[in-house]
Amino acid sequence: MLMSLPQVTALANKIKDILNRKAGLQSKGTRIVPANDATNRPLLGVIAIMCYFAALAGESVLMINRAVDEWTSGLSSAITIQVRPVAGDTALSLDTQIGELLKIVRAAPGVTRVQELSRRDTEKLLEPWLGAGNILDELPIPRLIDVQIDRAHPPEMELLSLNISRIAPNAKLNDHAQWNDRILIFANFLRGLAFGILILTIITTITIVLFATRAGLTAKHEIVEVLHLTGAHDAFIAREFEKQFMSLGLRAGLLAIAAALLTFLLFSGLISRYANAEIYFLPTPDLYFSDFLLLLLIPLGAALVATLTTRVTVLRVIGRTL
Amino acid sequence: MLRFENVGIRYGMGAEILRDVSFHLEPGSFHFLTGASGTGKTSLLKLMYMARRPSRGWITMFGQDLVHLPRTKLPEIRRRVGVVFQDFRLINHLSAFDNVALPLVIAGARRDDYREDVEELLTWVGLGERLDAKPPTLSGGEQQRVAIARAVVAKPDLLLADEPTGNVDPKIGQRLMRLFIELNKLGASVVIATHDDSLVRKIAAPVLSLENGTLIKRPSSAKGA
Repeated sequence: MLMSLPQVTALANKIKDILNRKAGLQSKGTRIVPANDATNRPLLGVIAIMCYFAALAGESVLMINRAVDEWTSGLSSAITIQVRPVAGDTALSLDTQIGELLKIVRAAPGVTRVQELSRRDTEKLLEPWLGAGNILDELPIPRLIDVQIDRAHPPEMELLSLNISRIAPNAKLNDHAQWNDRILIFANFLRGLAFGILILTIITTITIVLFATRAGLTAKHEIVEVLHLTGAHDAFIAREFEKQFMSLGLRAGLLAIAAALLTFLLFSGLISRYANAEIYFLPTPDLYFSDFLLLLLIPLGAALVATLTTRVTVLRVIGRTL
Repeated sequence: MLRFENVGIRYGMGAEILRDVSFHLEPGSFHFLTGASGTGKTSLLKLMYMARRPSRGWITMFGQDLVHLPRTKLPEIRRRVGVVFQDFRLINHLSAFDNVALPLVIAGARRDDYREDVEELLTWVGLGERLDAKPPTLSGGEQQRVAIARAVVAKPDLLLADEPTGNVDPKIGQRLMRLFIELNKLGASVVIATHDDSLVRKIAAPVLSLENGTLIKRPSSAKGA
């Protein structure tokens, strides 16, 4: 049924009113590319696992750093003087030598504390292997002097060594440099390994997001085409996909840090339950501010990586169309 | 407003689908585009809504040379063109409301600013009660009406409609044609591709007819035209 003239005029005016109103600013309600697409769920799992690995690798770097600091600071702030008895030395003459040595070392600049490992302590240390008794008189066991030094202003080692050898020719100064160097080589290897795993994890995550974005673009090519032909700029289309992948990265990162925290709690529980002298060298599993900062960076980093990778991929793919 | 000069298009190394197509659409004109299947109607529409560039010839739209215009400039031109696709191309997870609002969202409009307009337009096409319905839950005819509402909501200067009344009953078809005519009265040029001879006979408008890839412009065949 055709409309009457007044109806047509009214309609024309209505349409004119509607169509003449000016458009305003950006919409906040519409999500053009769905965030919770079923096809994205496996991807969420994969990115969460990669983020979990990144969290473990990052945390390992921090823990190794702390452990190495503990080891090396303990070693580099201490030196040991070993006085070996030679034929003809009696306990008394050795005590005299040690008394002299203590005076010299205490007077040396850069020395903060000097402590001789007493006969009693030495015997106690050796008791589990050699049994109780007057071991120091019967065996040529070296006597030890533990010296703590100021790491910022250490004593002149060569001069100290020379002074020591003047009093006790068989005394040897050990500044643990050899151990320190070996620990540092090992620690740097571990640090490099963990850092390498972290980098590989990031590269793998970028690659996964890249392929997922391309697959997403293929699956949603109809949406892209409609947006494109309706006058959307490439940046607008890229932003719509970015929103989806940013949300995905954030959610995956949050899942990963929850799993990583659980892992550290378990690890911490194990260490505190079974910690003893044999595993004293293990890194402390306590979480510090830097650990929480790192864990917080995981979801933010995942969101950033997902967003940037998506942007670059979408712009490149759309850029090939007219 | 839209000018084609000796335009030809081929896909890959195949034969030309359109040959030496030349025509000129004045602002505020109304045309039908007819032709049997395979004569190049879709290709011609694709050139008009800038989904492809021609293999040869010149196309100017709104004073811009479309053949040489950088692709970064095309979105601004596309925003002035409303398209009703034959397969609707609605976004399935968006409601009818959001599908219609899409061109306004792309143009940077705020929801509060366009809500009333979109609701009124959907009411006009008979879908006032189905604003939140997703396309998969709508019938073919309803989807077509959503597609038409989306094409006209941003008041395009050129409206291209590919078989816009193909899936709707005659009464709704008439109502939709009225919408196109009113849009045309407001100054928009309208091109309607159709197989429906009865539609062409009802409305007094010149016909662009495609035959074997060439275009013939004929006067209106409507009674009393």
